[in-house]
Amino acid sequence: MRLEKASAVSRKELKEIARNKYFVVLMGIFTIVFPVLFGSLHSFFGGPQHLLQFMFNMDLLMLGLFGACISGNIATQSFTGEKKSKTLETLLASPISDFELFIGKTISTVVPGILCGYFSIIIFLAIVQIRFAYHNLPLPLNLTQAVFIIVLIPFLALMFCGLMVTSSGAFSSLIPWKAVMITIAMITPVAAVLFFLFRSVFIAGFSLLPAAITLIVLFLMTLVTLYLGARMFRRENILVVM
Amino acid sequence: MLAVETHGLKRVFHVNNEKIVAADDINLQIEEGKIFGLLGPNGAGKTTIIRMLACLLKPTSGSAKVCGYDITKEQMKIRALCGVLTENPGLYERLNAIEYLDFFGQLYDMPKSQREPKIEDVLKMLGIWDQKDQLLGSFSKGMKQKINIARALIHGPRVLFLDEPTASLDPESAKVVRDYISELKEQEKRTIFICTHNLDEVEKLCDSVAIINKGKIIDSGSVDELRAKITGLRVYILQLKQMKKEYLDAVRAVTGVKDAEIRENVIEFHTAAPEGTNPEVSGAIVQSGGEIISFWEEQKTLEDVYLKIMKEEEGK
Repeated sequence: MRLEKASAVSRKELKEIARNKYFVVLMGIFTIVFPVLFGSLHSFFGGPQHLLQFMFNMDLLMLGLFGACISGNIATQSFTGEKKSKTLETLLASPISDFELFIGKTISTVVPGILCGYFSIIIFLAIVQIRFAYHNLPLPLNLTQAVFIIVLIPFLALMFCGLMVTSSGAFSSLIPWKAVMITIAMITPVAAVLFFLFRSVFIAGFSLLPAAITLIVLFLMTLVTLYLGARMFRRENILVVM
Repeated sequence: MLAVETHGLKRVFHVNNEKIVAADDINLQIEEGKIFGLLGPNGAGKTTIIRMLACLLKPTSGSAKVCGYDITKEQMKIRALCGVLTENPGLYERLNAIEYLDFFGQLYDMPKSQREPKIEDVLKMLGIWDQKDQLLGSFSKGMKQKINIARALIHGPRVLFLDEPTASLDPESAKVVRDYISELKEQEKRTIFICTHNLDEVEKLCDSVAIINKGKIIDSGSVDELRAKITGLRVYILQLKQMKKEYLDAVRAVTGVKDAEIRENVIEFHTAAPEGTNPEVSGAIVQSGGEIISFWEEQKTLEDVYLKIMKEEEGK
């Protein structure tokens, strides 16, 4: 694999994403509007400590999922959209391997999602911190929780990207919005598994073992979805059904 | 050396349980530094052949080599040596012309020191240097085609596959592209494979031609060879100062002259051996008192040739 080529693809894709108003608005909403909204709700509503803690954990997870959704959305445009706009054939005629192309596109898909996820959580924590500091309470964030969230966001972004590529590879002739619908159908069972895992982490109060098990399961799920995505991403398939 | 050679190349698609043979038993031999034209109606299989030779599709059976490399085993080498302009390709509309060409230059392993001057050269040659900073989404159809041509040329490919290269270009731009294609062949000895409906373009540019229909090559050769095949005998026209029946009789009396007749104030005749026949025809006219204004060979256009071959094929 030539890293230079994968890197050229990533840089080109990121440039296009930065100039796409739809993605800029979407990233703005997920990165700024939602964390401000969630953080403000914490400031308005009081309640028992355990309820606040639960809401805090849920909000952290939701913001991480939003970052992954951005990656999934970009992946749909990047893979399926390129088929629709007839730019992929030109790209495939150049001396770049399927794997280099897949890696290049995956990086450019995942990086904005991860960055948005991290920024949204930083904004959220900053707003919640103001409220907790006002009431002279410590921020309900322990080390395991912090590490969990930091590791969770890239896994989720990669997993959603893999799911999108798998769906667009399996249904190559579909227009992007149909691929999105199919991907939502694919994501639903995955999301159910995620919430089941997160629930056990919540109940255990973010102690090390359940958090570690959850991350390992997520890691394996990410590998499987990425493997499926890479398997589905084939020149021949893309061009024949385009 | 052969730049492109194919042996029994075949590609079958299965669409909705239906078997479609897009290319069947394709045998081509294109010498290095030559321009080859592939002619045929829509859906004849031209694009499929280009896609197989450019390693975008694998053949169902048969074999082919491009620049000596096997299309099924050495795809990366072929891709690096070829430039491809597909039919109606899309563009990254949020990039400007320089960014777009620079991206492809990187994919073709061109160092930055080579990419920058080459991009400038190609954009200037195609007359779009002034629009270099505009996003491609704002380009007209013709300008988009020019950018695609620039992209196919950016790395100086040894073999260039062009699918309808001048479609959607205005006559002036089409001429610029045609002249550049000729220049690539003459000065840089590039091999160019063109699929087109523009018969005039093929006639002006191509050293050899193949006509394809329903996935099969139905005829091939140089434009002159194809012309000779359909016309058989060569056709000559005599324009005289005054037309008389006796001049026609004099022409008919010459050995080797066939089907002589008066047509719209000229005498038209066929002959298989003009070197011997035509001086005798001139002499016979002069001897019978006729005055020749002009005497020329009627050229059948490639369009005539193409239409006749296609008509014969449809009649089979």
